[in-house]
Amino acid sequence: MAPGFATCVVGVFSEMHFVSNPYGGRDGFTKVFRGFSRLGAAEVVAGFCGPPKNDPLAAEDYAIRAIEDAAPKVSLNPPLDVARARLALRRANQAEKNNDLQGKRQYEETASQLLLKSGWRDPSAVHMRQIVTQIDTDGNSCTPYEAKRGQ
Amino acid sequence: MKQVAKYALLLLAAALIGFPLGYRHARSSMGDGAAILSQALALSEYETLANLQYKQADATHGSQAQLDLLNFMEQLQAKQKIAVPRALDYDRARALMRLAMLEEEAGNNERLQQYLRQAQENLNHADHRWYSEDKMRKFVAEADTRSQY
Repeated sequence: MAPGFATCVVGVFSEMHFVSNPYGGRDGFTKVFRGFSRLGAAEVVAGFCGPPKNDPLAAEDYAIRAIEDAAPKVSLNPPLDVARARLALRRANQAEKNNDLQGKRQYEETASQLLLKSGWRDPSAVHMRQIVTQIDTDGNSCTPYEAKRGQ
Repeated sequence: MKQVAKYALLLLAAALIGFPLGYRHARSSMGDGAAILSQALALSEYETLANLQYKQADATHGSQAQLDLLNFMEQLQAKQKIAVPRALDYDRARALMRLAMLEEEAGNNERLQQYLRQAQENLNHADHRWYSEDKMRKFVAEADTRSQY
């Protein structure tokens, strides 16, 4: 019984959409779906308090590219520029932590440009930072203070 | 020699019976959980981005994002077995009500009524109750005041 159970566990695990490669989906929609599952999972990890154990931002970038590639083929047009802006802001926070002030400015500028393109009434990095802090606070047990520090 | 063959046969029979039993047990205990987790992650991420557009962007971008979210939900329902159908009905009703609110702001009463009716139908499907227009407005207003996205 154990080998059957183990085989199925491996099968189920490989079918989990946030684990499997979004480019490997059998059709366009599955690729978009897997991309969003992976993006959602990476966002959860990126929002954790404390030092990150891996690099969820690279996973986010990869998922966004996969969705961008597949979405038009199934007539979907998700607001990926908002996802890119959020990613740029998280990278700006990382750059700030590493005392890379020029990098921080560049990422913030990128975030603002993307939000402006997306029609935001307030495309400033300061506003986006408030939203990201709120997302992180809502998404896990971080206090607002910890969420700010965790960025 | 006969003894060895007997044990080998027994082992083979046990494996042949045990393998499918183990497989079925794992599938029933873990398969649904995996589906729920994958769908929840994908849908909530799509909704977060679409709702950010609704709350933060101009009406055109906001409306576009909600329509796209509805399209995603429809394709999801057509392609996959929905793990928690009731939750999808709620989410769809909320997206439709947000579209209705945008149409109201733009002064399109006909479209407002159309989206409102569709949202009511979705909630009715989820709860087997018919919600009045006032209740529907409260339903979306509560969700909108809770956060920035």
